[in-house]
Amino acid sequence: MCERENTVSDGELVRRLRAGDPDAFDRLFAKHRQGIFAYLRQRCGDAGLAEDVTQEVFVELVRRLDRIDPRRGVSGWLYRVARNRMIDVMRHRRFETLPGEDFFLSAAQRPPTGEDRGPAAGLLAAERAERLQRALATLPEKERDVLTMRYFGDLSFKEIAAATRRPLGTVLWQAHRAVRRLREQLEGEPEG
Amino acid sequence: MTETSHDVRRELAAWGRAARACDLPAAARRETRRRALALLADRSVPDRPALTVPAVRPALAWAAALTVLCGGLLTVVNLHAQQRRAAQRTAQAETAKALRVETALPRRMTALQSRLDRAPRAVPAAATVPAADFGIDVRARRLQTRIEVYAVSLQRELGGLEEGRDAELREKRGESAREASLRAARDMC
Repeated sequence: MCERENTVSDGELVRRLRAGDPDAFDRLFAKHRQGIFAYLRQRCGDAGLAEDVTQEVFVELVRRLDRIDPRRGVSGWLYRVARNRMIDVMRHRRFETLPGEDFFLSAAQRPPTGEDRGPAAGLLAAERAERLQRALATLPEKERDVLTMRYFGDLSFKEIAAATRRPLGTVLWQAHRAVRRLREQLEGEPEG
Repeated sequence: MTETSHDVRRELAAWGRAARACDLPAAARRETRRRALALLADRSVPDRPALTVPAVRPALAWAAALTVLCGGLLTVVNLHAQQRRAAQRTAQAETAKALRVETALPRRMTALQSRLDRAPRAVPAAATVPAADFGIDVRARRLQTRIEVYAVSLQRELGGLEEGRDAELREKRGESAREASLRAARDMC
């Protein structure tokens, strides 16, 4: 029973939310907030700003419930709103592209993988994260957006296509090219 | 260190997982929930002003439907009146034409008859008297010929007109040429 409740689709939750069910909101919020928060924090590099925009996104979800098509899922819509709102805020605040200090600290605190075990693992992971972050910052806007949605928002390519309103083939190609660019950047950059 | 695309993807995925593990602070979660549920409650309140919009929509829809209906009815009535006027005009034109035929035919026949009556039947005596003058005699004969030809053509034209009139009268009565001849024979008897 509980398992079946957990597998309720986003579309069904949107329908319930339209009917005024607060539980549906809690479920949607629990399901998507971390992905959106991670995506926004990665894009703007400011945890406080990412918190504010995440709140705005979910309030907007309730405010514009009538505009969401439950058949097409809600994640594409949420990330589109998040992206547009963040662009607006960043344009307004004239943010710089590189993230702030708090981002690198959180990246360094990520759980170490198998190969990262050891006394210097945390420091090494932070270094690698910083290199990757620098390389990511050099990517074109659209390609960076695709990679961030894919790996930080944990979206499928189909959902990214819906969120960015680009054809699936374009999104796939942009992801491929972005990874290639990252690899070239990391190969060209001296370690440490 | 040589990086492959797979390494980069794995690195990004690990990094993304770590980033997703960081949740919104509890205060931000509570605030978001409070604002969203307040909005949700506001959506379901029945007497809020925004609900007047859906109430207005059906009225607008009815008004639009009535406008379309009235427009359609007016168009149909107009078309009907136009057709009736066109039929009246056609009938009037046909009546006028028939009247013209009825009045013009006898008049024209009378005119032709009078022309025929007035046409000289023979060469005037004065034209033949100076027999010694050959030229005058020739002119008189030519004149005679022309008069005869003219008389014949007048007769033909008159005959044609009479036939045309008879055909029109038969057409009016709706009877065939055979029926008309039968009727004429009966009248004679």
